[in-house]
Amino acid sequence: MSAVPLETIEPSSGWKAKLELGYVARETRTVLAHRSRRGPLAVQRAFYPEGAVCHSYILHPPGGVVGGDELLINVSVDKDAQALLTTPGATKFYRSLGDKAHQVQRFTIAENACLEWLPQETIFFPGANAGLSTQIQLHALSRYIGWEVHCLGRPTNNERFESGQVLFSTDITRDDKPLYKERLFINGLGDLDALAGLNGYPVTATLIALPATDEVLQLVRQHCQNFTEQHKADGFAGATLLNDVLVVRYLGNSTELAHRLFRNIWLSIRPFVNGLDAVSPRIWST
Amino acid sequence: MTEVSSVPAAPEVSVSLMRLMQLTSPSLPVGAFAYSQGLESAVEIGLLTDLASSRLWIKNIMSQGLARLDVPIFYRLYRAWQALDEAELRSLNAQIFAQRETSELQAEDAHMGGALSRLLIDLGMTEAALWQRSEQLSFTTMFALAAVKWDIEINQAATGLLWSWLENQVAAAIKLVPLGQTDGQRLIGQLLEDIPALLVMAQQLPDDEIGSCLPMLAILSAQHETQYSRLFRS
Repeated sequence: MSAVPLETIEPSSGWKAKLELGYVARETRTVLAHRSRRGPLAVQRAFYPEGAVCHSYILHPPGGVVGGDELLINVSVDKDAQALLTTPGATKFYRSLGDKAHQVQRFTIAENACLEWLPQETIFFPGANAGLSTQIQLHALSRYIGWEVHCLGRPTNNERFESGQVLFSTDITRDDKPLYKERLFINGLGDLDALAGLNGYPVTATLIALPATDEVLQLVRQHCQNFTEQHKADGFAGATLLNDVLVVRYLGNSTELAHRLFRNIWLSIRPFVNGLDAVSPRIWST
Repeated sequence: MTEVSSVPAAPEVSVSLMRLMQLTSPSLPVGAFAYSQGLESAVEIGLLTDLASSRLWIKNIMSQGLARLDVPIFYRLYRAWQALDEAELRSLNAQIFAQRETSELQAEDAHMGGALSRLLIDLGMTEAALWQRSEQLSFTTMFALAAVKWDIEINQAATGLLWSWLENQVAAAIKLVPLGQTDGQRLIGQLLEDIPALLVMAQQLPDDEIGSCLPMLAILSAQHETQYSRLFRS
C-alpha cells in the first residue's frame, strides 16, 4: 500500500483523493490483493462475515466534500472474485464558493466476478456544485448489484436545493458496448419541481442489478407495489427489466425509506443474481 | 443568350420541404399513435388534469429529455449518414437504447425504428438494411437516414423530429387528459415556440453531457408496464 502523507496535499486546491482497490479470487476466498491511496480516502481491513465474499468499508474521514475536491475510487474485481463494498456514513457535499467538486467511481468487473456496491446516501447541501460519475465496465459474464441514494438539499431542515448545481452521470458498458446510461442535471428550482423529473421530491435513488430475469422482476415489482401502497404520501417506486438489467427507481422524501426499500429488494434478489443468500452488513444494524 | 422573361418563373417549390412534411406526418406508418411515453400513466395517477399541467409535462420532457438526448444524437447521426460512417452509426444507435429508461420505452423505439427501416427499404433506401434483422434500430437513426437521403437540411430535420414528437404527445393528451381539440392546437402553438432555442442548446451539448434522466417519467413508465387498463403501449 502506498500512501502520500496528508500534509503534502495542498489544501487551497482542494483535496485530490484517490483510492484503488483490486480484488482477486484465491482458493477459498476473495482477497483485497491490491490497494493504493492518495489523500483522505481509505479502506478498512477486509472482513468475511459470509465466507468467500470480501466485505470492505470505504472511509472518507473528512466526511464532507467542498468545492474543488476530487474523490476518485477505482475498484477492479478480477475473474471469479466477489466483493461487497459499503460506506459507514453519508457523504456530504457542502455549499461551494464557486469551484466544482467531483466524485468519480470506476468499477471494472471481470468474467464470473461479482461486485456489490451498497453505500450510504449522498447529501447535497444547498449551494453545492458537484459532478458525480459512476462508470462500470462489465464482461459478458459479470454480476453487479449497486445502488445510489441522493438527497438534494436537507429536507429534515426544510432546506431545498435552491441554488447550486449537480450533474449525475451513470455509464455502464458490457464488452465495451453501451449498456445503460443516464445524465441527471439539476440546476435550480425549475429542475427540482419538473413534473417528469424530480416532481418536487428531494430524494432520488436507483438500484441496478444484473444479470436479472423476469422472475426477479416479478419479485421486485411486488416489493415496489407493497411499498407504494404503504407509503403513498412519501413517494414513488418502480422497476423495469432492460434485457437482463434490472433497474429500480425511488423518488420521494426520505433517504431512510429508499434504503429500506433497496435493502429489502437486495435481500430477496441476491440469491438470483449471484447465488448467495443475503447477509446484511453489520453496519446496517447500528 | 435570349431572355425568356415573358414566361413566369416557376414558384420556388421546395421538394425537400414536402419530404419533411411526409416524414413528420402522423400518417407515416410507424405506429406512433400507439405510444404515450408515460403520459397515460401520469394521467392515471392524477398528475395531469388540465391544459396547464399537460403543458408543463410535455415541455419538461421536450427540454430535459429529447433536447438533451435524441436531438444531439440526431445531429451526429445525420453527419454519420452523410459520411456513411458505419461504426459511428452503430455506436450512436446503441447509445440511444442504453438511455431508454424502461423496457416499454425501449420496445417502443425498436418497433418504430423497425417499421421506419422497412418502409425506407421499400422506398429504395438500401442503407436502411445496414443492420441485421435481429438488431434494435432506433426511430431517430432511421429518421436521420431519411432526412439525409431526401436532402432535408439538418436543422429543418431536427425541427421536424421535435415537432412530430410534440404533435404526437398532444394527440395523446387530447385523448387521455382529456383536452379539447382547440386546446390541443393552443398547446402545440405554445410549445413549438421553444423548439428553436432547444435546437441551439442541443447542438452545443458536448459529447460527455449528452443524455437525460427523468425520474418521475421513468417510474411512471415502469408502472405503466403493469397498468391494468390502458389504451397505449407506452
